[in-house]
Amino acid sequence: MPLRKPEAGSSSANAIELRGVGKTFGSGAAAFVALRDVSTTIEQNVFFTLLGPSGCGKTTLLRLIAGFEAATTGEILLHGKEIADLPPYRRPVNTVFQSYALFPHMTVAQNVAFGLQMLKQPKDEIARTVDEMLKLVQMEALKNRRTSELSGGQQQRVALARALAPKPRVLLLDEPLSALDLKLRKEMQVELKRLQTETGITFVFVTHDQEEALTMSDKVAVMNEGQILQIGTPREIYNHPANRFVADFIGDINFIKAEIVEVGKTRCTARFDGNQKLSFTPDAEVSKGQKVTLAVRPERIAVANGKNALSATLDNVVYHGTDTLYHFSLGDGTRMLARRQNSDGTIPEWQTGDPFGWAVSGNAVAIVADGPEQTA
Amino acid sequence: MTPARRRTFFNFWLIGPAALAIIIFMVIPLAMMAWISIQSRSYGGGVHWGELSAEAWLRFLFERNLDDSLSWSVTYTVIIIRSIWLSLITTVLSLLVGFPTAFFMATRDRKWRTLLVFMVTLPFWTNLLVRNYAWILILRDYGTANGLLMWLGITDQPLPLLHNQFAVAVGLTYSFLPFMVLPIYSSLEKLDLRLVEAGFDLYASRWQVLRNIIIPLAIPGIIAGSILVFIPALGSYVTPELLGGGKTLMIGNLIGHQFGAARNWPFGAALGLFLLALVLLAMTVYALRGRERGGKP
Repeated sequence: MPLRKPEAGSSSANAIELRGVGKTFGSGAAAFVALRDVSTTIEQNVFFTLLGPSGCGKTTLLRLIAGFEAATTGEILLHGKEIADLPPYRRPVNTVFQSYALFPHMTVAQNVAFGLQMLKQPKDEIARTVDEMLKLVQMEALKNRRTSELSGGQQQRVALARALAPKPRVLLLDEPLSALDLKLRKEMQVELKRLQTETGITFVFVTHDQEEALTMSDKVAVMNEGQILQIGTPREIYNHPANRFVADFIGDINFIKAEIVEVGKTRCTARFDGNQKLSFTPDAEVSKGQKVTLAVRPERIAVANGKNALSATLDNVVYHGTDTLYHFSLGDGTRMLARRQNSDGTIPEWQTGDPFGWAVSGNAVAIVADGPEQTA
Repeated sequence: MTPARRRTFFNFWLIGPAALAIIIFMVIPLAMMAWISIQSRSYGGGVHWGELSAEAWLRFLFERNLDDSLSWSVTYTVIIIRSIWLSLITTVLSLLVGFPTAFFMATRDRKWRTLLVFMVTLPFWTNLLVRNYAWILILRDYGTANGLLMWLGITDQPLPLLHNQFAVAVGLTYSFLPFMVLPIYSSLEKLDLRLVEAGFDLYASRWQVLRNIIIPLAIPGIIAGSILVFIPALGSYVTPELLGGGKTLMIGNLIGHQFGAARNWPFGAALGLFLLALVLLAMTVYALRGRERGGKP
């Protein structure tokens, strides 16, 4: 990944550094802790996503970086410089708001030009940048329209152009796609990723949509209850979730309570559901007798027959077009889900209550911690 | 009658009472005023019905000499211009005081806003006459304001605060301020605070956000408030009568005077129609502006 040349005097290649950032709203009995002790670094030129359920503090974190709120504790460094004392209009970051917040009394071009005018750039330069930005988001044709005459997707593009026009070093995006319909959202996901690569600007993107986070990001931070639970590439987060919350929040997953009964050189064996045994390659240190929670993605479970197959009872089969979902239960009542792609076009006939044989490959099993401890 | 026609017919009768009231209490009196304004006056009050005369309308600009010839006179033009001038001053003062007030109100917590709106409307609970008398007590030579100034040692003589244009402007501003505050408040209250944040985010300082975002979006409220202040100020009677003294007559007082002491009904009626025309002009300007912006927030 090509890094932007750091500014003279700044030795840091980090766009943003958070050190023990906390935010409490209100005080006394009514106090609400929105963020607790968040520390992380966001490198330059990455697409960084803050992912979490609503109320997890992701938007608060974004607003702290933008300067709309002041942190209660901790420091925020932008390119190595502390920015706590800077009001939002002196921070070289721009925001794309959830509702776009386009100025209704201005045209598309005036909206895009606003930031540049406030920076007192020369008129001809402003005109050039506005044209360039509108071209970038493919909105040149609607330059002189009022923003109220635009569709949601078009407003979204204008909001992007407006935030990109001052050429910020960091662009903050607060759930910018949540108001769009599914098809448009998919288009804009690709578009946003393209813009980030083309402009080389660090994107900090807030979303509650795990699919959005996985498809667009270079790095994802999963947040819950004001804390960052895990930071990693989409693959790391998906395949090696640090704890139960992360595993559960991203995609579908099966949890199996088990006990390690045998530890080999690379593989170990766990006993679950009474006396069923599963052999796998652990992604963490394990010891004999340890009680663990195993996590398996539905698409990694194979429908199997034969004597090595694990046993269960089928509850339901749901046909989804591209794939079929098998809901089944273990002997101890643990509900499980398996997803099979309908690649051969035939679906076996099943009845509820039939025995269901399944198997899982050794590298598809992850051990997850139960508590939401931070593992940055 | 078809059901649809019957419904139309029935709807027509629904507006009947209102239409009747408008005809009796507005259309007929207005027609009477127009008719009276072109009658010749009767010196004992009233008019000589049927004796048509343009005398009342000529009085706006001319004065009749003893030999019956007409000569230019600015007496009434001065009063009309003064009325417009004082109303404009009142509008500007109300805007200067009202905008910050409305802004303060609109940026409070929701539970406080209701109380603040209530407080703004509180003066209406007291009679206008009483409120204007209160201003006499404040502004007179040894009243509250002068007393305070002299006690503080800022002046050693009472300042002439009462019976001048200043007193009228202050009184009118005080009387009509709520009409300015409430419309501006309602447009500021609707303002999306994220637009303000977006302004800050795009490098606009507080002042630039106010000038480039908040004020343009509050324009409908500012225009509505200005008209609501300007129109009643133009026709005001009580305030200039009590606070203005003899040298600051406004159109309202002039009209009152014509129907009273001067016993010149035609001229009073002509002045009344003229005032109405001024108001309609102001309303038309507003309506046209509204149409220009029509459909666009």
